[in-house]
Amino acid sequence: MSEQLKESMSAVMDDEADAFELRRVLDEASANEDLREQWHRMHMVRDVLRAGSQASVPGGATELAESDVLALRARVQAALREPVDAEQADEPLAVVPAAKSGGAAVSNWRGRLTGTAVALVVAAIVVVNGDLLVGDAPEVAQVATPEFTTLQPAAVGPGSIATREAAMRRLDALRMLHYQTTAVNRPGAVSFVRMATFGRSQPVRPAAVTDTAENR
Amino acid sequence: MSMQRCSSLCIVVGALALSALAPPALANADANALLMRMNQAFAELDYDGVFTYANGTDLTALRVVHKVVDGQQKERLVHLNGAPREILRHGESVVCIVMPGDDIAALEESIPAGPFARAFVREFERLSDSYRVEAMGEGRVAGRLATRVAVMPLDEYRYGYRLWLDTGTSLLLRSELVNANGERLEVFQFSQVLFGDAVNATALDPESMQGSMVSHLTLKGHDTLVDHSGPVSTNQWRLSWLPPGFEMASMDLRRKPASKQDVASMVYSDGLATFSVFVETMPLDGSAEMVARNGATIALTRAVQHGSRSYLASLVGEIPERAAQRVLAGLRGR
Repeated sequence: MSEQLKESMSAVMDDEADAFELRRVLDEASANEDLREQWHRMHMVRDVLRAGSQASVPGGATELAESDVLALRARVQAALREPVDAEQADEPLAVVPAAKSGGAAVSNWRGRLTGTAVALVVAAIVVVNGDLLVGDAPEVAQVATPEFTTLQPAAVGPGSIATREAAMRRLDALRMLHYQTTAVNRPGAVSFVRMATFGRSQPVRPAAVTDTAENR
Repeated sequence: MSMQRCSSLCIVVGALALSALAPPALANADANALLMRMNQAFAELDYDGVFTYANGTDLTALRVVHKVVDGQQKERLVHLNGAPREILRHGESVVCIVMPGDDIAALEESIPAGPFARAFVREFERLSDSYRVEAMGEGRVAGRLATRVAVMPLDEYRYGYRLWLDTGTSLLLRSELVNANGERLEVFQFSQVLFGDAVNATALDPESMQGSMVSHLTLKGHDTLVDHSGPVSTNQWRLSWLPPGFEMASMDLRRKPASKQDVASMVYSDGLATFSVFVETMPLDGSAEMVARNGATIALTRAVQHGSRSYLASLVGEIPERAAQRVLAGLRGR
């Protein structure tokens, strides 16, 4: 599956897709069973995450219980945290010199947003609750919360795929804003070129991975 | 006699060797004038050229056509590899022509804000506090004679630049952004460039691309409302530490593309390097703290508590990571 398609899928899931992206995902999904399977899994993961948030907020008073939501999400994310160290060893260590980041490995995590990574996350859910693999989304939502709330709280990890993808999109948008500001202030200069050549971020090091690695 | 001649020769040779070892720093006035001419050349000259732009691991080739027509700047940037993308600028109006699915299209809503001319005059006088400008002799770029200039940072909080300016026109022919180890993080270089009458006005016309999308944008003074009564406002935040020489260049409430979320934006500059600090309410889907790098641009995020609320703070800019971390760590709510 192409990187672009993956991004489109994730945009659709975040309700940030434009008509074209939505169309592309739908067209691809109708022709590609693997994609439908992955689509289903991505939704399952998201539903579980959302179910966690909603269940802790009776009456849907999201504003009031934001800290509860955050705390619960941290536990869910900790539960979903994928084993990254082994994969990181295989990643090229370019871009940020390791010495500068406290010896932590630098990886292109975007490259790890593959079907394998999704499968790992799904496997983690299955271990927690075997019922998760059957049934549609509403049932998942109902059974998930009590199970997850019994888990020990842990430090917020690099987060779920959806979270990291959303964080990445957020950073990209801010990078564009930054380029625009500097481009506006310096017409024709290199800063305008930065904006004109804007593309998705490539190398990324989730800061939380650094902490985890150092704590071991 | 012969002894005397030899010793004076030795002094001359020695002086030459010394001057070769330590390139002469330009007097501030000369450095300012040189960099100002470079900036003017970008805006005032007619040029049509092809340049490469290397940012980290990405290498892009673009054609730029710039012409002043009836007092108005017109510019066309054409991507020569990858997905077709053209950016046209006529005065303060910007048009993007892209293929569907282009990354820039998803963010196009907020493409340039504020008149181009607004902050055009940079305060080069300020540079001398943070950089040393040195003449590095002559070079050759795109088949043209170039004057080489090094802009060296005086501390570890900013990057350095190596510039090649066209000796005849002062147009920037090549620039390198280098870190403290001398590694090039970003390279911009013309491969070929034509000047003056050789630049045909028809070269400003876009090529038609089948299936492409066009978006017209008119630049406004401020892109969004500035409403400080909302949950995010710009005067609510301050930085407890700034690298020496950096000052706030602008402060805005921006509307982030895609998410439509308000984000406080504070831009800092030392006259050459720039970084932006953004603060928004913590998104409900949470956020991992992370560090991303695109060539010279570092981007990092961290969570900030202020009062009973959680915020997400981000720094994006062309400064070394350690400086960026220290700045962001010093973000405080008022």
